[in-house]
Amino acid sequence: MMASTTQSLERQRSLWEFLREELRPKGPLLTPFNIISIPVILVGLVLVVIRFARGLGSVTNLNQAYPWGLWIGFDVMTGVAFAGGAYIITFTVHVLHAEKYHPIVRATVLNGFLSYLFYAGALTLDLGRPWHIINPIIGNKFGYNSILFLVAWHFLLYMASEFLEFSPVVAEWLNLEAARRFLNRMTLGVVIFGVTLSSLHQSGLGALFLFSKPKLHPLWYTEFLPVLFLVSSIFAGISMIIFEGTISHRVFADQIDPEHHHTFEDIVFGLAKGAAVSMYVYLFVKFVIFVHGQHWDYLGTKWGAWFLVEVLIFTLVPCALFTHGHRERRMGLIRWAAVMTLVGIILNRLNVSMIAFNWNNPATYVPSIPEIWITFMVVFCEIWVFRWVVLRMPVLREKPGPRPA
Amino acid sequence: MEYYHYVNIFETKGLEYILVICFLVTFVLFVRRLEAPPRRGGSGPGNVIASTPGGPVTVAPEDTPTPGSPGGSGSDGSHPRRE
Amino acid sequence: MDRREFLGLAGAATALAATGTAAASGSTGTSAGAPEFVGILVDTTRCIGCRQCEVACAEAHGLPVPDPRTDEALAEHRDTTTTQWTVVNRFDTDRGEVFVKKQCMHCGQPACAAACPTNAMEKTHEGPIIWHGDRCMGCRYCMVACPFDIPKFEYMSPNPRIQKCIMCHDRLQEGKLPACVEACPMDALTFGTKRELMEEARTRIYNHPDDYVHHIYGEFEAGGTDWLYLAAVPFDQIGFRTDLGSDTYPDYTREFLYAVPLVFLGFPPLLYGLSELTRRREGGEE
Repeated sequence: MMASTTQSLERQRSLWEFLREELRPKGPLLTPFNIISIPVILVGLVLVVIRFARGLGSVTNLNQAYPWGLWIGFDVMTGVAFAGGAYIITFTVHVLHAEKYHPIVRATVLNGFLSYLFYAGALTLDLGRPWHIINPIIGNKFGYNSILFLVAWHFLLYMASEFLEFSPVVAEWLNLEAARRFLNRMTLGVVIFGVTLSSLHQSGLGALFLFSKPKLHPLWYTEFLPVLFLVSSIFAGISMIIFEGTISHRVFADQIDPEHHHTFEDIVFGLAKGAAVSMYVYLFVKFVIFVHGQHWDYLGTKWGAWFLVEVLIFTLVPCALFTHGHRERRMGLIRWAAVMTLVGIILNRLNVSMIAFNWNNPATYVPSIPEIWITFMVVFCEIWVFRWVVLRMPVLREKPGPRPA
Repeated sequence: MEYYHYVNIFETKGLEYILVICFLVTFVLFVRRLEAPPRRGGSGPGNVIASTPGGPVTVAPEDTPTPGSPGGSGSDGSHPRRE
Repeated sequence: MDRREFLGLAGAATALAATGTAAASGSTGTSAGAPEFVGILVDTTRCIGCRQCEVACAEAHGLPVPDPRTDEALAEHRDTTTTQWTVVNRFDTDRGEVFVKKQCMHCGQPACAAACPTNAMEKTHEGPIIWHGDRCMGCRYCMVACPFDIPKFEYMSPNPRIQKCIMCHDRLQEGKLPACVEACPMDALTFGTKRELMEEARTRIYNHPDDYVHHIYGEFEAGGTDWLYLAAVPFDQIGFRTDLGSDTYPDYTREFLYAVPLVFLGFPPLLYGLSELTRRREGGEE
């Protein structure tokens, strides 16, 4: 058996030697992505130092009326919605046993885990007193009354769950067969726990704004915000899988078996169907909530127009594109639909947390250049780690066969 | 704040129920629209890949994606799909 | 439950049944025997805009002390800041100039404390809402949650604090009056329990029906606040939000937080059941 021979070969080298070798960069250093991302990350680190030395006001445009800006609105709110693919796919494969989607589980879980690690991790940059971040965990004090307390705990537990879901891959990479078997046996339990946590904190992010009734525009404020956030996280996650998968299959083409390329197309068509259905449901939920809120008169204002841009152009249109793309088997349409959906999710989360927030307040907030810069830094860091892992561990290639030398 | 007038907080409920009925009806139409392949009517749910060169390929739902894999590493436990 | 506790509860139940109206609010977890909230009644018809309350507040809390005679601060409408926990603003209304003091309203059931993941914002049982620097992690969710936009954050500090009026919690514990109440030369500020203040406010309206609008701001707003305001003109003309509703703010998140344990009890078994029911037979693989 091939697996056993590579295993015994592997054992002869020491683990440290192996790790040291793996830590070395692979592939050319001067790729366009590197040339852009390295300066962004280096300058971003300088900005982070300034932020901690001089306070949040030195790099951000946050103010007393806008305590939450881009780092919460995009990094946390949007990033977590984009990472929703992991709970959707693990639910589909491990709970519903839809084996068709098995080939994308590892990449999706990895992407989800890293998204939480980096985007939710970016939260520490936004905290004014980050050295107290441990307080709600160690009980100084447990703010049971707080939605944010719930979300913080869920982030932590869910990151652990996703790591456990991914850990068999790490064990495979390190050739720890016994550990892999042990971790594999935990998968179903961890997935069930993870799906429960995800449904609660995806909706919990919406619930954070239940307090914002006097501040958030009535077209966006509703007591059903948690439901909207949960349902939209489904197609946000699916669209992210399509988007990320499409890029991965080009960039890491050498990692993937030819036959896997073929099944990936079929997977994307299935995902498109899931996205179309969930968006259709979402649109109806949104419509019923709109009727319930009785805010017809706002539709004629500029806020109404902006609301319709989000709902019609960036939700209804991609829903139709997904439907048509699935029906006619047109991959191009589906990719466009995925990108438009992602834009729609960004719009929705930013509307709730920043744009339609304080609509009735003369104070303004526009993210500063350093805020945007650091956001890019966080995204690039995530991609770096994602690439590092994909090039070394059996994420896209399913088999623990020989690694590319 | 209204303490001196009657406020009906269920005013739109009837309209919402009508919308729900609309949803249930149109959802069936929507799913049918989503499923129906363009040229051949009424086949099974999502099993046909029409655009594959050389005619439609039927994929059984429980099929593993390795019909005759060129890598040839065998189809035993190397696929980590029985977990 | 021991005998004394039982008797205490029974006594509380009788008292509630007797007062009747208190029980009608439908609130759970009524704390029998707990101290009632204290608060401050602001009678804007008495305020002359001397801003001695601002001076006293700054002196009591070690903040930069303003000079009301020279700084022309009344020229514009000011918000409270990290170094000015209370400000007086002037409004030109159809009944002339009206001066309104602004500070934390000290809500009875505050949004900021319900929002805080570390209980750094604490609603003391006596009424004042105070901030604990050893707990706060600077997430600023209290600022997002507060319907009055009161908590202020020190953006330019590497060790930032949340700053706002604490109703002189420290002075109250020493048995003193809040600094602003003590400093007010016009008796525009009255300190007392909320129950007493409500009676006082109603009495003033009853005795001088033409001098006041017949509304006590803070009686119901945001579920009721410990600071209460009387005014001669409608409150939306003198810088108050009149669209805050009468629900307490923790109520907005109640249903979600109540559902969380049920989701944890319901989802995992449901998912496990789904997984079992959709599992293919062991023999039939590959």
